[in-house]
Amino acid sequence: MSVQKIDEFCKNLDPVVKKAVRIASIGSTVGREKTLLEAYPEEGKAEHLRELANAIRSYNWAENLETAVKSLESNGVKVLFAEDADEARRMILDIIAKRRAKNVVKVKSMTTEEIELNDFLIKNGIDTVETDLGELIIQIDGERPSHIVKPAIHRRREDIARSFEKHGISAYDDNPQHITLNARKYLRKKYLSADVVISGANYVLAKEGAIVLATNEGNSRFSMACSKTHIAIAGFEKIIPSSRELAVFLNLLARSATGQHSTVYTDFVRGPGSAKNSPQEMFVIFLDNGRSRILGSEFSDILKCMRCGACMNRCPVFRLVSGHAYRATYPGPLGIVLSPLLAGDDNLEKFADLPKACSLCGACADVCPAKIPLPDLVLKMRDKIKRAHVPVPNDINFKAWAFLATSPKLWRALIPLNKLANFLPLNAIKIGPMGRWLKSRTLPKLRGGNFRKWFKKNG
Amino acid sequence: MFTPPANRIKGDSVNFMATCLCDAIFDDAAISAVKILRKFAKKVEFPQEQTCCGQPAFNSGDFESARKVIRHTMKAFSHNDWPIIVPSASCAAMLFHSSKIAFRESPQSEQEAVEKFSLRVWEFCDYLVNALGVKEIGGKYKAKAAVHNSCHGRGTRTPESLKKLLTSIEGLEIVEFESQDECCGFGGTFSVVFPQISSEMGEAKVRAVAAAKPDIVVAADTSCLLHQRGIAQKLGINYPAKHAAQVFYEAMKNGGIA
Repeated sequence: MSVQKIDEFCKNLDPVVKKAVRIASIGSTVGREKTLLEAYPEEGKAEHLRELANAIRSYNWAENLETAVKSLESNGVKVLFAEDADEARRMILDIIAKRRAKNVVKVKSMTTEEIELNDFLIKNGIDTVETDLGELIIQIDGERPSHIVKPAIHRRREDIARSFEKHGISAYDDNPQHITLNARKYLRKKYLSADVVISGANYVLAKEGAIVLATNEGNSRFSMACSKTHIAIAGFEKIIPSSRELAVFLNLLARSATGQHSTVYTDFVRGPGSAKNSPQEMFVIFLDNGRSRILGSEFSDILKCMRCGACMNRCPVFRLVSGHAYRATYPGPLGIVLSPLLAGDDNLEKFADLPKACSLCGACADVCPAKIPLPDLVLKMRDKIKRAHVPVPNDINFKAWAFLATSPKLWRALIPLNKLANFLPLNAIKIGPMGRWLKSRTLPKLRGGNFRKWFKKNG
Repeated sequence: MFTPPANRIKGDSVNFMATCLCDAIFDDAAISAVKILRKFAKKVEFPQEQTCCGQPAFNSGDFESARKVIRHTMKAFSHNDWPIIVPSASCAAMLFHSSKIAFRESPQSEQEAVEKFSLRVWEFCDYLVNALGVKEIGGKYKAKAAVHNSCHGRGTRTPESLKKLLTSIEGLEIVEFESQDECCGFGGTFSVVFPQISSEMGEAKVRAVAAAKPDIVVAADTSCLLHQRGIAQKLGINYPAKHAAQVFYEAMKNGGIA
């Protein structure tokens, strides 16, 4: 029996869902390779771009932030800082309440997922609706995203159609095109009555004082058409120096995320009223929520993440378990490093098992557009958890092994004795680490010391 | 990822590091590797004090135990400064990349020693092609071979070197299979800590390989093969796994050039 939560999740996951997640993940991975190769057929070019993305995010954060605040303010944006999720939520509610607003439309944002904004606003009587189709699908069923780019990756069209029927969005119709049209009709009314639009920001351009939103459905523009107030919330790591550097990121983002050369829409929002009919008032909230702590640690590379999801698409574990297995906002290779960091050192045990959910295959690092050394960070996190003496289920103690491996005489004496175990019914062991291993595998014949003997004879 | 230092030592007198798996189970892979090295290199030594690369503890997050074992390994190979050839991409990566993470908070002098040691470590196929400049194994081996590129070879030129050497063998044909670049789910202790996920990954790998109907399954790591063969046997699938060195040696023997 496994007592690892993610392992259990895998065991109990509906095979149909498992297959859907796998197909969708592999599809994005293949799309990524194809579009990057089409765009950069020259050897090493795409690699160079990834190196640039990494280097740009190594710039001076404090300086970027200072410039961004100045430019945003001179464009008429009110800039706020939220220390943690709680403060960010209260700030947002306060802005909404002061305007006696009741209707909020949301543009897909993982940062708002991180601060669990929707539930909070709804509890406070604010009608809050996700306008991205995938987000809408999971919102009406009270679910959390199971992928940072494709939040409904685990859902099938038949049960989406059933949900739409149940929640009064439309009659049952599982034709994907009709699902989209029905959501569109439903959302159209929401856009028209919206008072406030809440978005994240894929990028904040420090020099220009603008935020950049990359979307595929045009919902960000619809959301802004009638709303009087725009609130954008972003971690300060989303700030990049200027639109010049943006080219590097936009050339990587959609290709890495969904295998598109570009998202269908790329919005630049440069302060209130910057486009016809756009909100007359704009707030940008910079969220810390543990980020400055991460910035000062050996895990700071994780802040270079552009939330494309390439790592999870490529991850053999994610492909088997889907995002909900990770019990947090950010799943996959990104999540197993970031979730324990965001939880903080006092809550390490909450996610101590996550960094173990990785075979260290390194595939994620191969596809990360910001070249974040994810497996190294996973290992450093395992070290951190071990040193904090947080127990992890199924863990193995290596103290005795280390003693043996540093006692060469003993090692040489004991290794040949493993052959004796061939006479034991090893494959019948049912308990302990061996039992877990042998449940679905057999062991080969043990031949300890044979090589050393051969070398002595033939040396 | 798992990228070795650019300026590794390329000498043609070498130390052989058998790895704990070959020491305990796969003597045939280690013997073949030594025979091949003797063919192409000038001198092959096997320091008797060697044990393990430290990876099991390291991957489990027990860096303290890992450091002890790595220190021992560094000492075991300190009698000369020759390259250290490992018939495993994974153990090699432990010693040329991961060791630096294990010692990242150690005193400067020890970090420097670890760094210096990392310059000596090579995966077997990578060394043959990129240090010694071996262009072909030659010989004969009539078989359809499925090649499993182990994950820890990602940062080295092991995959291309393995392919180059295999295709130089007369009669050997490489067959493709689905999701070739996906991990087989072994991951050392990962397979014990996450038995369900690991088994499902392993089963997918084994079934994909078997569907290509290969005569042999070849890899530069015995650990991946140990896992895959163990899974296959439980599923009743025939899985003729061989370490690359074994295939090279048999080819040379068949061709009368061993």
